[in-house]
Amino acid sequence: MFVYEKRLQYPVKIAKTNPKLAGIIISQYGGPDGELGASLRYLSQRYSMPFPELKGLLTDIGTEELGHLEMIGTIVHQLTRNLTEDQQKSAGFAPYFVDHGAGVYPQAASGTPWSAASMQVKGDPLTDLAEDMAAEQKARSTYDNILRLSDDPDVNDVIKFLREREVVHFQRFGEAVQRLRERLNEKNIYYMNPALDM
Amino acid sequence: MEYRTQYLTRQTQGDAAAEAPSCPWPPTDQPCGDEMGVLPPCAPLATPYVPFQQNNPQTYTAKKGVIRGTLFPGLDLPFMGKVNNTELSNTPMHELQALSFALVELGLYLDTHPKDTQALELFHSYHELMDKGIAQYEATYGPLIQKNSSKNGSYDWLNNPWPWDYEANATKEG
Repeated sequence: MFVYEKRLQYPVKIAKTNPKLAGIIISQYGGPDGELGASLRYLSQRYSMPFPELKGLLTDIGTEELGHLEMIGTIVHQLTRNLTEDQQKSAGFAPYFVDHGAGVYPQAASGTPWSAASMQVKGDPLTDLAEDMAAEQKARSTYDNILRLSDDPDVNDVIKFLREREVVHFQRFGEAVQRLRERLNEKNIYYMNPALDM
Repeated sequence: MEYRTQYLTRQTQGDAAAEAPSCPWPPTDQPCGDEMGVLPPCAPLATPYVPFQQNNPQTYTAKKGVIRGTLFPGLDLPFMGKVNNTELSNTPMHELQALSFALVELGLYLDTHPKDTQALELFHSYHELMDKGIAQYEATYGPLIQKNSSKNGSYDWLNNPWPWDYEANATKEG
């Protein structure tokens, strides 16, 4: 089960309102490579993982991603607080504003709502871990792109933290593949699906 | 069923067999620099390999690790030289965020390196600091979790600010 801790993993304090930037950052809330998809991907893949080290890693990274979802939501919230009328109408933000006001809605920067079609639970541990490694790279690239697009130091401070977490998670998923391989037949690691046949 | 049988044979031999594959793996010492990982000398084809982080890696302090996004200098790989250098302040909030971050980071490391006793000791020492950190946090800001909401004789769970409020996040300088 989950218990809420009333704090953020890392401080988010955005001094300057910037709705246009909020409309970009929202992609890491509900976009194809965002934190919502990350947490649901890992927390859902846990059930078909046959070994304790894989169950544990997916639980722990999936839980951390929920904390990152909250941090991204916080960035979007603080970038859109006390909006002036001009800011509500501003180019780049009005299409979001008409549907969601200053609420935080899981969608991509393009406006596409979050979709489970952006993630996968294949029920095969090697396949799922390969997806997870790719997912961490895609999220890292998205944060790289945000750092190219944003010149707000308060936002970038948080984005740099989140980006580095993707690097570390990639490393751990890669190590998890090695741990899994050590459990399989080394002459043919694809002989069967360890989630079904062991 | 030949391969399946082979697997079952290995399984019945327990962990000792799993630790002694035909190529020696994992290495028992640190054959590479701290920023490097190790790869098995012989390995099945058609599967991805990430160099395995070696046991007992170098670590930042919790306060430096949290602003860099990793406790491990070897994994600190920033984009275009963009790094956070301003460390968090000494407020109970930031102390707790640093301690908790160290535990999260070491927890993930231990998930794939459960036999690294030095990392386990570090994990344990941060855990011992957490109890004090939580007490100081709650004395300053109120309950961290809902079940701690009646300590002052009133239900103070609802008190502002909430974590996403601007006011809840002290500046990094304090």
